Amino acid sequence: MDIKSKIEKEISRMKQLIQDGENIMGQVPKHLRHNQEFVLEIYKKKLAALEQELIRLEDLDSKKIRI
Amino acid sequence: MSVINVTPIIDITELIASDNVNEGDVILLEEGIYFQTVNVLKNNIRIVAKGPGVIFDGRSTLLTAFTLPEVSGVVIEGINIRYYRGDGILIEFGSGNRIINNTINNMIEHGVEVISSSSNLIWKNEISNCYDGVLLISGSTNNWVIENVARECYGDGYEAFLDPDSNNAFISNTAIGNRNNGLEIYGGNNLLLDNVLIDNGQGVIINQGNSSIAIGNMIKGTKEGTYVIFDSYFNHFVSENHIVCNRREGIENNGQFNMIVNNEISNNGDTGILLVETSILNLVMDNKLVCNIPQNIEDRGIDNYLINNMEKPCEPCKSPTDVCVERKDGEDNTTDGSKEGA
Repeated sequence: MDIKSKIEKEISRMKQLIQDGENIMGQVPKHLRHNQEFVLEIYKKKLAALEQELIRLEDLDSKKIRI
Repeated sequence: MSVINVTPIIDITELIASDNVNEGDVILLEEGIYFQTVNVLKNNIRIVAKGPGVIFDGRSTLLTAFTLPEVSGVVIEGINIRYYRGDGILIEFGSGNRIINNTINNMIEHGVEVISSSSNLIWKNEISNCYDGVLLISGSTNNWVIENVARECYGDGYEAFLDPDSNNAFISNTAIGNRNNGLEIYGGNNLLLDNVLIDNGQGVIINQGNSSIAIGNMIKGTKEGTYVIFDSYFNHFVSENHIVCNRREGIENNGQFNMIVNNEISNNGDTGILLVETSILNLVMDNKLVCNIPQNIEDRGIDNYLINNMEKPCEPCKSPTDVCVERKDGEDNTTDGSKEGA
């Protein structure tokens, strides 16, 4: 698979996971929520890193096109 | 050092964070069903199941069973983990943690996910119905993935995500019936040794980097690409692998300066070794190729060296399908005692 498509696919899955995780928080017993939020922050960091990597690759591509 | 007995009603994250638990302590889990996420925020904590009935059940509500952020020397051993929305076990910026002998099934994400972490051991875990069995991502290096079983996952059995995920070892793992790849390995200097990959969507993908090594792996019953080395991957060493009874090409090489030596490639439903147009200066030597249809080796590349490969056509009136079906029947007979003497 093309590397950009691979990252895009993972980004899409992560966004879905984070959204689902936030939506379901209401069903999580209150005393367990803090730990879920902690995990969600890790997933958000991972998502941000993937998005950063995608931007880097797109920049590289656009530089190649300009050359 | 002390051993602390724990039951399902105890908040283990809180316990570990408290002054009652110190580095080196053993958290011994009593049997029972635990509904919680454990975030381990201290180094060298050993979380061990007391018996086979320790179950962490996320009830499709909680995200992970165990999270190991920025810790080292943590052990998670002997635990059954099921029905979490994220990963069974998540390591982030961790090192030297040991994930041993756990059974992980029905995660929406991965059985074990390792993010930006190094030198972790993932050993003898049984993982099924997750996305990837084991995922190494975001610059995870020098990890040991050994003797795990990944079965019927929706993604890959084992994956090193991109080129920063290098210098990892995948040894004696089994991947059966996973929808995507048995081993999807990006990055450099990864070791694939003695793994068994059966009935996966694809077998092995090698991409982005150089110098990974694959020795002694068995790939069988793959539905799409069996062993694909991508363009611009170089200095990949592939030896003593058994690539049999797959639907497509045995090995498809798109890369450069790779060595494909002394492999057994037989009864595949397409060419045994295919060197496509981008293949340049690869060495293909001493391979045994039997009954790959339409041909055992095809070289469409430039300046590749094909030396001393032993090629045999199919036996008269035998196609790869015939041989593989016969072989499968034979295996069924040997493994199923009820058929003995039939």
